[in-house]
Amino acid sequence: MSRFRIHRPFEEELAKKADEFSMQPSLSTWQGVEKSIAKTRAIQTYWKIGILSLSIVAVIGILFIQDDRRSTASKTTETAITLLPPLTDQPLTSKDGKDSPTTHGAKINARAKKEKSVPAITQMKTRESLQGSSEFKTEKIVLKNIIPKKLRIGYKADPSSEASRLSLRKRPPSFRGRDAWYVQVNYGPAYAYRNISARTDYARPLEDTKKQLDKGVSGFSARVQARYHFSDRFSLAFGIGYTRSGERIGIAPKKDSKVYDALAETYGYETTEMNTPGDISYYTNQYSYTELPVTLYSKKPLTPRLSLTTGLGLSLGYMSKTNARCYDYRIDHYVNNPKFLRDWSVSSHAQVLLEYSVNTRWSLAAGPEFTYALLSTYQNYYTLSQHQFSAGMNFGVQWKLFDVTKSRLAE
Amino acid sequence: MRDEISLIEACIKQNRAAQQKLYQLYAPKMLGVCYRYASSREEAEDMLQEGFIRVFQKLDSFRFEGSFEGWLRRIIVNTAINIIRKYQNLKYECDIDSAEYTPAASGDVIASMYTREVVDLVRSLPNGYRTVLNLYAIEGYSHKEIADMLGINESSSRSQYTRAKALLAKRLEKIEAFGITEHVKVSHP
Repeated sequence: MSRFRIHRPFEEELAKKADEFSMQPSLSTWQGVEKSIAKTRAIQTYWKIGILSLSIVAVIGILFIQDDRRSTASKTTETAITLLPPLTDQPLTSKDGKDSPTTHGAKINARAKKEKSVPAITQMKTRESLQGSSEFKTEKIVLKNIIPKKLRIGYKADPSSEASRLSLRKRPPSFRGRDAWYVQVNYGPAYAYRNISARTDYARPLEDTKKQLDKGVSGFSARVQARYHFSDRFSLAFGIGYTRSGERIGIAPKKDSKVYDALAETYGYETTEMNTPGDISYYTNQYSYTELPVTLYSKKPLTPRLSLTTGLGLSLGYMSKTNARCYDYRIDHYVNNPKFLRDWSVSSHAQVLLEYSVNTRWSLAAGPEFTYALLSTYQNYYTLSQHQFSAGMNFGVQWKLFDVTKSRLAE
Repeated sequence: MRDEISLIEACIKQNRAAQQKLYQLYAPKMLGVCYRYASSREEAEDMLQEGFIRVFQKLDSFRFEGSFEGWLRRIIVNTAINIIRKYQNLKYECDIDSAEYTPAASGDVIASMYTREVVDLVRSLPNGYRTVLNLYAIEGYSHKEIADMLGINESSSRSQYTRAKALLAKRLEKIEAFGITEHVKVSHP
């Protein structure tokens, strides 16, 4: 294609005249374009956050599961070696000369005794070879059948023995008294936005304009909580938190405001975003809340160390810091931090966390979180109702206040 | 030129202010382009809006090799054609007042007219004629390209253009004789 190809004077003149022609598009055209590209941007942001969250969860999950498998295998080997002393006085062979399950275990135990006298590297090699051998697999079954339950649990065993310590580590989680208290710290970046609706018909144009021009912003939440495990599955966390949410607002030039003109006549003309023609001005509104969150957690173990935890909760918040411009209908003007902003808020939150127990005291958690404000950002008498919400990631660390395992050992 | 490149680069990085600046820079001219294809100003603005959404979505495919305005205009024109094909029934019929008498189209009369009058004259043509005339005489597409774009035969494109030009010539002749007002009627469906 070649533009402005000259055929005859007619085409040349027609193209020349047509090319000189231009028209000023209306504001709504740009708003439509911007709305669409912002939606694309938001979708891209959601995808990025989603993919990043899933990747983090997947990587953490894979690492934890692998680590968990390694530690489980290692523990089983140790158990095979150390839990067998009570059986050593059993005969090594049965009458028919074949190994009974008991004698088989004793043989391995004897082998383990031998290992103690050889250097550490040799011991490691022996353990590795044991793990891979069919002998080792058989041993696991034997242990289940012949070791008394109380010995496996280990409470009655000699506390100073290795066997006792290992079996304490194997103790299934059962929270009692001080053992049930944890301290938990959570932090999470989030994409914050709001639902908006007009309470009155005359506010519909403002609702429409805000829906076209407002955009989401990045926010965050941070919490320090005490968590009480009242059963193996359920726990309740409560504490203090800080959340920042908000939105970016676009203020369109408005020259035909009769109310403002009347005010301007009375009180004097003032150049503001309401009467200055030109570009749309953008501001980022931020609402910061100090919160008292309460969360009920339900834990489903996936592996001995890894669990899937879902949390549902409520937060009572106080608007501790505000940097927001809001449209005040009474004066037909945008104002900073108006009085019709509500001081108190109640919001709900839902979390899905992958929790990993690093050891008896520490555990880590990561997963998505969604929050939704049950009360409007504005007071009820204001013409618009605005509910903040946010979607993002939550990363947490949980620390057991009292390590009862150690105190039991000391006893 | 350097400013334009940095503006485009900022738009690719999703800089909102840069996107608005780019829009403000080209929107008036591109609306003029859309207006020649559209039946009404509202439809032209729809075309412009749709076109710029596409421009911002495809901006990362611009290779900085040719003219940016040319690239932008191509997208806008393609969008306009797509909208016309989607919502309008393009009729390629002969509605020349007298098929026997077809005066030669003169560039002199056009040169003496205001740009708005010329655009309104083009817009006064039936949809099919107007589209082919715009694409061939103003945008410079070949009949083969036009045939591909509109899904018609190359010969149809040629005959449409000939008829459009004849109709214009007839109207231009009247304009030359009696003035513009009575002979340029823009259709608003």
